[in-house]
Amino acid sequence: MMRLVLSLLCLSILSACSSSGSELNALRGTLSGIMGQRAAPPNLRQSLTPEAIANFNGPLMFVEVTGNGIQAGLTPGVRNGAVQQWITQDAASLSFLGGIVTASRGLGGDLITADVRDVAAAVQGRADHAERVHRYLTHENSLEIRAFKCSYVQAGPDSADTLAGRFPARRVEETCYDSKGLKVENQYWIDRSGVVRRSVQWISPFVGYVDIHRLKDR
Amino acid sequence: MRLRIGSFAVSLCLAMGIGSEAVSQSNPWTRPTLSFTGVPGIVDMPTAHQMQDADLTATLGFVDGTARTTFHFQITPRLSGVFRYTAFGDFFNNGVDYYDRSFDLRYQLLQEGRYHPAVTVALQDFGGTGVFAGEYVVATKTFGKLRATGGIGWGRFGSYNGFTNPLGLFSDRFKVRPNQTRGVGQTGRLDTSHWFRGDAALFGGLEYAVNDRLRLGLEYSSDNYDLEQTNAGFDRSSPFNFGLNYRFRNGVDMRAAYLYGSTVAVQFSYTLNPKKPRRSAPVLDGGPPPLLVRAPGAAANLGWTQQDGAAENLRDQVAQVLAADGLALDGFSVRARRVLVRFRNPTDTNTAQSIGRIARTLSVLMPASVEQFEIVPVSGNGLALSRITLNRSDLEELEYAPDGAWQSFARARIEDATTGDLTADLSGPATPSFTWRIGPYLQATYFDPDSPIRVDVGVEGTFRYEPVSGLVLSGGVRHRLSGNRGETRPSESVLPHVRSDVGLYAEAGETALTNLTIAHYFRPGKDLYGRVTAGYLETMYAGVSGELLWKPVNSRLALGVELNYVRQREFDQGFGLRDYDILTGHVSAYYKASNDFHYQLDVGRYLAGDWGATLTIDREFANGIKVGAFATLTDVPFDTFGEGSFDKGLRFEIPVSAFTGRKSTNSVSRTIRPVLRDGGARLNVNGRLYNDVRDYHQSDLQKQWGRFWR
Repeated sequence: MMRLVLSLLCLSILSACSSSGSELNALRGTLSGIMGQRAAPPNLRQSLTPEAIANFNGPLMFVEVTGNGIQAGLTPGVRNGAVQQWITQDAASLSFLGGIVTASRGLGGDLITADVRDVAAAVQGRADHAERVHRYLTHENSLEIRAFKCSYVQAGPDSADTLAGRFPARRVEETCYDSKGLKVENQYWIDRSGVVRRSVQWISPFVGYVDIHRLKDR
Repeated sequence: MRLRIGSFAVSLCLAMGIGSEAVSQSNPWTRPTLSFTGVPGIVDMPTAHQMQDADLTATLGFVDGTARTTFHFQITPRLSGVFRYTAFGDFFNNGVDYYDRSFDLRYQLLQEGRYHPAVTVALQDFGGTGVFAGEYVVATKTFGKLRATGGIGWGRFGSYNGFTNPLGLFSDRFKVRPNQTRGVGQTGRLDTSHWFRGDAALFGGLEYAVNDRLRLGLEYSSDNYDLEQTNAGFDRSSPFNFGLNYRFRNGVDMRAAYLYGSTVAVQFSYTLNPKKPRRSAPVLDGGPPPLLVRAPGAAANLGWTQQDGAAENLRDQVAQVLAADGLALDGFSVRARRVLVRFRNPTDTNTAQSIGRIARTLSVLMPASVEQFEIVPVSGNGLALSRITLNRSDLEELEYAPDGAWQSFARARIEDATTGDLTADLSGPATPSFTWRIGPYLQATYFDPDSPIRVDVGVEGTFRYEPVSGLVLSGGVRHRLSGNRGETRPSESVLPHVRSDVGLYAEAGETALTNLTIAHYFRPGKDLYGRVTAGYLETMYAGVSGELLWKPVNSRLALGVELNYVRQREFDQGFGLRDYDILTGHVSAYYKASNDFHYQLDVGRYLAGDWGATLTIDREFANGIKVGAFATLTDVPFDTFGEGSFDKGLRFEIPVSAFTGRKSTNSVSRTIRPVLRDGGARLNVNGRLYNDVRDYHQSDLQKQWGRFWR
């Protein structure tokens, strides 16, 4: 009997309509939300060739969430003081203070703020340890605060492999622990002008690590 | 019978909107496994550990011709409650299945320590028909991968190899357990006279965790299954039970056991925790609009105020951006230094986030001189709920401030919406509005003695028209295509049949006018909210309903009064009315505690003319999931009330967004009553004020403020 009821229900939901349009799309959205299905987007690592980047009009950044393979091209958004936001077409964004991620938006369990003032100095070689304070959005819409103790190793000359090509850079390794023993390992490749050309940075427990390529500055 | 019970459980699972959850854990003891009575247990006997705080677990088990469905809720870390619905196949050898409802409460007296065990006391089936009635005190201690449990039980748990009740040392009255199986008619009476009475017996057992997935259990049971032996020919040839429990990663447990030397039993259970309902991230809905920072000195420029149509132009731009984010502009005013935005949020339960996004939108669109943003959330029925005043310079300063969320909340002024001196000069596209829907409906009644679930399905059309803010015309018509709710047994209630003729209404109302009302929502003064509704209020009643609510924005307490004069509608649910009319109403107090709990007390006169009170306690999670229970006691004597003795039930509300990770105001809500009778019955009128009003008040906003900057 339940099968009959369910199929009747599903059938009739498909045929429901209202002043705000068909409920079919809403149902589809709900189902794909439950199933976690997403249409496979084009692979930006293949389409963002050095030529395509050279032809792009304006600054460009490439970001990939390493845990789930979601990729995006970002362009500069609003600047607030020393913090520069980079934004995708669907308004997801990362904000940076001196190349260090200080906030994320639109990624789910976002990093609402991170106090990275000391980190920026340490990455530039002006200190060998620093403290990070991160605030994440939790499932209950509250903010979870985590403080990390971080140490830095200036790993020396290296080259930054980005989609735009290979740049001479020095590599900095950052290792952080929070009070519960969670270990985070970030890497930064800094070019001669002091710009973080590429980095792999940890955002939040939900998002994990992101791979960030600074492709073009102007 | 088994199939039907199975489908009942499936439908309840669906009704609860259960999605997928990951229970990942390396410590095998993180969460206990559930016995065949649906509480933490070894095989069929209970243990002393509790589930994780807020866990909701549904189980479906089959034991020798009985199908047991249970819902277990970890109300607080130490207190848990169980609702159990059991179908006994051919229970009295008369070819008829018997359906039994029972409730348990378990309280953990002692949490497990290094040297002492966990200790729990429980009342099983404390108010039911007594089929499962029993009490126990149980202790459990963990030794690495081994867990040992021992307990003493009364009632059902004292029925095998029992001995004289040791509590008899205190009083002889403990030595005899009064016979409390008085049949279905007494269901629900809270009869404490048998608790911990009569013979007691010992039970115990061992659990072994092979790994974090597989657990083995061995126990000695003190339950003699007397009723099953007498009525259903159950063969109990051994007190020893053997079981294994396999835990999948997705929250599902499977349990199989060899019970009482005669039968194999299986059980499936599913656990979800409303605090972390999904493995993936909280609601994903794109990023916010940018927050634009003004250039230094730009605020001095007031030239824009001289332009013709500047306000209209800004209004149109704000309306457009809000609409793109699913919000509706309800009213707008702009001055040289301040702006007022009234908005409605029909698509999203994230209140603080919508305030934050409007503030960002204003930072982009408003001329630089506009420093003060006054944002007024308006309910779906046109009630201005609060006025949130933000300083633009604070937003600019705090966007990336490490503690920006809390600082921005501290600097926001949240006040009553009626107190502002700036009112909306311009209206927005929120009104007039006309919405309609034609689609399917499904209506279910549960726990009919002949059939655990009855369902009607059909087509439904509804409309809603709001010509001016706060004046709402709405109605609905249903046509049934198929169903069996009309086959419900005729009511034998001796009270006026104010609810129990549900079968007659279902049968006669093949095409039914579900409601047709005109309602006015208004603000009579500071902290006050009002509603007047007239017409065909609900399927069974027509008349006039009025309500007044007092709810200051910064108060956790609200007080309300509701008065209704209604006349019963004809069974066919056309325009006709029956003879029965009644003046009914309540005085209500609502209190939102600083933990997750919410309390509501309603005192007044119910539909059958009975006087009494209803207490409702809900646990409300920040993501919108609510789980609660209610009970009503009135001056109707238990015997006059009939089956169940008094009105009570459980209720759930689960927002769709908590599972899909996408924004939506849709939610699945269900009220489950073991039995619907005529005592303690209230009118179902749409648009009651309290839940609409509190969303944008201080305590609810504060709980959500983490999303302000999102």
